[in-house]
Amino acid sequence: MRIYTGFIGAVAVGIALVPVFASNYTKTFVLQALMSCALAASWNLISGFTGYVSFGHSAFFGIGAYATGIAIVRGGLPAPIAIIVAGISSATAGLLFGYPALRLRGPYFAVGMLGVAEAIRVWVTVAEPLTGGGKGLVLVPEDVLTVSYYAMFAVAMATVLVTYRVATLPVGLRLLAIREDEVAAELNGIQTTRLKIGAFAISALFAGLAGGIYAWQMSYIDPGTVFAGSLTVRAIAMTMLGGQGTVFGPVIGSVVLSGISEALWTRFPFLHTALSGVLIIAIVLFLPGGITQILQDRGWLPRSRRL
Amino acid sequence: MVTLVQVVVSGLLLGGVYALLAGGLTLIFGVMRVINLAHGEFLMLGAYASFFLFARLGLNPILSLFLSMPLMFGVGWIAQRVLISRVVRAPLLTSLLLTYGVSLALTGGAQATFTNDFRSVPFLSGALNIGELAFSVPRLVACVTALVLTGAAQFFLSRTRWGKALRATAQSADVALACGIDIDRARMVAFGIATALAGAAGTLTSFLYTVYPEMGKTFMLKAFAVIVLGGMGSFTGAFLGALVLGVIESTASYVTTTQIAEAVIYITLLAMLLLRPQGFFGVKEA
Amino acid sequence: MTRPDRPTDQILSVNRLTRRFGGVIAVNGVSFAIAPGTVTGLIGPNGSGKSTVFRLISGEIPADSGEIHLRGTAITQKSASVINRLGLSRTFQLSRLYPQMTATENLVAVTRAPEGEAFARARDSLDFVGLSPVADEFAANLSYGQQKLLEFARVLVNDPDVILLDEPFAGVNPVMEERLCTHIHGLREQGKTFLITDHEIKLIMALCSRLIVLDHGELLADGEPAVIRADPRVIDAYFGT
Repeated sequence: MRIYTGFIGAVAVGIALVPVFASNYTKTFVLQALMSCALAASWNLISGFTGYVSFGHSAFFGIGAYATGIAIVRGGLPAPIAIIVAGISSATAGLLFGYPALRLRGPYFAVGMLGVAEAIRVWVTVAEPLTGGGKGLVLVPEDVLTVSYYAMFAVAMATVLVTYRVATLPVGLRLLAIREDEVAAELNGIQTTRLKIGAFAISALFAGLAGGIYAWQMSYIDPGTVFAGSLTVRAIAMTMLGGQGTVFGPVIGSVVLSGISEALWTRFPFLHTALSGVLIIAIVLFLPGGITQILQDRGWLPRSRRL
Repeated sequence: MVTLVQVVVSGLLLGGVYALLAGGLTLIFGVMRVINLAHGEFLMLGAYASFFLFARLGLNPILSLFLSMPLMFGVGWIAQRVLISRVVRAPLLTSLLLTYGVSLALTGGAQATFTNDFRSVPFLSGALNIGELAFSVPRLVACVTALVLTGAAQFFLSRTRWGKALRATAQSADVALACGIDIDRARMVAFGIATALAGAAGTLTSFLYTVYPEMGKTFMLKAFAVIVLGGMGSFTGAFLGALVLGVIESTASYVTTTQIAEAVIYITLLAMLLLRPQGFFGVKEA
Repeated sequence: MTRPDRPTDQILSVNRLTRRFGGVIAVNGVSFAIAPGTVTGLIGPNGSGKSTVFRLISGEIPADSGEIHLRGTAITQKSASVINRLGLSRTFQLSRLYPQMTATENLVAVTRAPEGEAFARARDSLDFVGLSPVADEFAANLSYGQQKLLEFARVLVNDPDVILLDEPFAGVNPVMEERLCTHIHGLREQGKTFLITDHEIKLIMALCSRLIVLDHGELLADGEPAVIRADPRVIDAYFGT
């Protein structure tokens, strides 16, 4: 175990040092990778653990982005407060939508959340006076690349840490029990509703924080971008590639896919979606446990809930 | 008053096309307990087929159905054989993710092959005037075709031997197997038919709306809304749900912008999920 | 037919319980009450409604009408997890363990012991049923007998007062049968109450101090094994047309 802690520690230090040595291009790339990691890890908290697959994860990212945007532009709030507002807004949305949505069975929940994301996107597009509508919202343009880099790093780390705590405590096993057999879990006295909503709210919280930091850093947001289905797709593909229901699965997946994306982007821009699809198909059919499963099967990683 | 009737009728016409799409989705769920998230993409493929046959060969979309439907049937057959069959017995979650992956692959493939440009099929236009009411000709033609196809599918399911095999498999695969029905083949037939119906719906929408690679998503949500309204697994429910959805959409479009009309549909979907997830005709599972 | 009295110290009582599935009446006005610290058998031919009664009592499905009381408290419309937390737990005919979790994890997920003690409590339970050697095996990889034992351990992990065992002896070898019976006797002496259903009639008759017989969803007979064994209606239900 020591080796892995050391390895992870080294990686973390490495990431922390990037802004010191690297170009803006690299910083932006790693920032995006960290954002993807936060999105994937937050998706994993609800969907990977409880098995309630949500196709509307981008809703919370977008809510966070717009909460920050509106707080800064309409409310005149300073950025750090605005980002906290983002977190509170998305977590509250998570509770509000979670309570009714999580009573639905698998596919209804999945597509229902997609419907929620789309509905919110349309609402934002229409509510021009508040949100700037389809034209988007321009925040105060500042060069905050480095600060937002560390902020996103903090959010990504926090999400992974929370996942770690959840996974190693009995509550994590209770969430997994919901995934394995929810009816049996209920009959065994597990308070499934409470757990599901809690996981969902925390998942929404981190997605919202990521959205808030994104808005601040980009200085411009529009509904099409922050509510884009591709954000959800990426979160799902990355988590599944790395291993859903594990702690570092989303991290591994986001690193690998960010790297591949970067390599492919310049040459085959449209292949993104297609490849994500093929990847998901391949994982579902041949490697449901993702990369973590391969590593564990080969003995390179121990079989442990900590990972 | 005239306007109201027109809006409602226009919605019913639209509903006919939605019924075609939703019928296929319900069929797949009924026979295999799989929710095919790629169903919208099959519609998209049908729309592109119609576009290319029209643009390159000048072929009338209705006639092109004779070509595209068998083609789509084949696509569905292969999809079932190669992919879906592997997850039929798996938990719902697995098939959800698999078909999600398929929908992404198809959308991305379409983007790469056809580019994101909007296409349209300018086939038919104008209105048919009956008394004081005006009916959009394209919608009328689309609806009639949709009804014919839906009716044919219903006939197939209730009267033919294969149709009975499908319904038996839907009721209980194990019992059907014990009775000597080739359930693997039945599933392939079901998926093939459903895909062909989706493709046909695509052909019909190709001259009603614009054609672009991501169009599948919107229609999938609508089809899902129809299913939720009518109840999963019920063909009749799907039909009635489609009509209701068509009217809702048409009324909303008339009253507000198209964008808000779409939101109204999503809100209807969400409201139904919250209040009555089993739809109006679905069966609450024991 | 011997009818038990219904004093208020019955730990579990069921009153005119009814449940339909579509056109079929699975359970039709069934009533009985169970005294604490006893082992009661619920028997009847296939389709008599035994499993449905279990599902109704444990809260898995709602009743159409009738009442269920646990220690005097009505639990009729309560959710399954609430009923479990009130001290009634149940095993399943086809064991519903969490397949991708280890034996230990299956118990830790369910235990309501405080966090620090959860793993220890799980290990003790595994010890009790003799499954310590496979503590870290995935439940899906356990043998049939081991799964049955794990299911048994799981139903006990939160120290319930009333335990419903759904066909605990199905497909189980004689050695394991003895083990289970020994455990049941021991737990009964500690004051626990059992309601067991199984098709091994001989075993049930030997194990239980009272039998409740269902047929086609209705209560047919209720009394001591010796009496039930000789009851012509029971014999008829099992072997007649």
